[in-house]
Amino acid sequence: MGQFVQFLKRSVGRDPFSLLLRAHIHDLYRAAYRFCGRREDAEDLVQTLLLRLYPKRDELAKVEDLRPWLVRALYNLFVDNVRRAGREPVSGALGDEAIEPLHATEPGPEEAAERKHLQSRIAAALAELSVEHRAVVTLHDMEGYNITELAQSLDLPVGTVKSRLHRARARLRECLGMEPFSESGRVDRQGEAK
Amino acid sequence: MKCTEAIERLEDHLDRLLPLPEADALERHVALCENCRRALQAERDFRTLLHAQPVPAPRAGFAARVLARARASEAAPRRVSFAAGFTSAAALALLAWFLVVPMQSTVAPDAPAPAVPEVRMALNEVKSVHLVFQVPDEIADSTMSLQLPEHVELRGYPGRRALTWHTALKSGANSLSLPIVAQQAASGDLEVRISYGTKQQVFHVRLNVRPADAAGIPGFDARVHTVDV
Repeated sequence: MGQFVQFLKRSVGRDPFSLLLRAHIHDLYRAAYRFCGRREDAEDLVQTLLLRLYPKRDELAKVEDLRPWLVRALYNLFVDNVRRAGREPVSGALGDEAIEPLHATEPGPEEAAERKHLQSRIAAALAELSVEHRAVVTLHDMEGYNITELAQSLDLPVGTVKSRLHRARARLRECLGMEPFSESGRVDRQGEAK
Repeated sequence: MKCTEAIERLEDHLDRLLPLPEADALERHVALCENCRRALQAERDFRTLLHAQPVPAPRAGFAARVLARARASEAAPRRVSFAAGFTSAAALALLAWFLVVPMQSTVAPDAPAPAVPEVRMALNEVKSVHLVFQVPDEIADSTMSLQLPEHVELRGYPGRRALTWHTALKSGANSLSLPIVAQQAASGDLEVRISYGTKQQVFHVRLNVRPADAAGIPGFDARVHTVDV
């Protein structure tokens, strides 16, 4: 055990880059998957980011709040890739890997099929969004980044993030064929609470 | 509060961006207004759906692998720049590069690899060309396509210039042996195309067939080696 601990200490001492980055790789992969919509593309994106960051590891060590900094670097890389490729990263339906059970409990076959169908529809609708809209809606509504974190991560003013998020959701609802706030919640705009 | 005002504030309310007095006013309104209550619940359901949208786990050992590659990048800068450019430009996970190694090589060990690897053959010779694809991660379903130049044939497929089939590629080295029949003295490229999902990569191997009477053709091994990038 003592030897193992010494080995770890030596490894860490030799590799501050891994020490800095390892804790963020899970979040980076999730964000990358939300951007790209495919596991292989998400893994490639994170790998490319790390390859670019490694030569700058000394600068990286000086960054105070690494998570939004890394997400911003990831997002910029993603946007660069999309622009360079001249296409949106996802077209049409996503792969089967996008479809996984929501809960640990086993749903009935009908419920499971319905859930998969809905998830596929959402994945397809997300793929219809622009890169900018997809970034805000996935990071905020799916990954739980708050508005301030999002503003930091995307290097945007808070007001811009809010309005972009609002438009992104509206567009997503439109892609899903939903009324604003769903059909069941359609409101008579003339109406008032009594 | 009017319904129009309530609807306008629903998103900010769920994002916890409303000042407390406005949030309280909204809550009082939806408690009395069935339409707005349903709208708020619909928005909550919508957020729940989005939040529950699954993310598949990365392949096993992902974190260790990407960190290791980043670390290794400094030790091999030429290879890394290729890999980085490659992945960023095409976002391909499949990386391979061919290098023909002559049997009796007079090429210095550190000489640069030719842009297109070359296999030399004599007319009517049958030679197995071994391709090795170095794949970082398993690809469960890929499509492999061959496009043969006019002057050669694949033994067992007379007259066929193109072949396509599906295959799985394991992580690491994947071998493919092609029995090539040299039919005419000419030079041309065998094209190997591997695609999966929306990605593809194309490799070329030059097949150089010399006339049969060209005595003294040095024998060349047709092994095509790969270098992992």
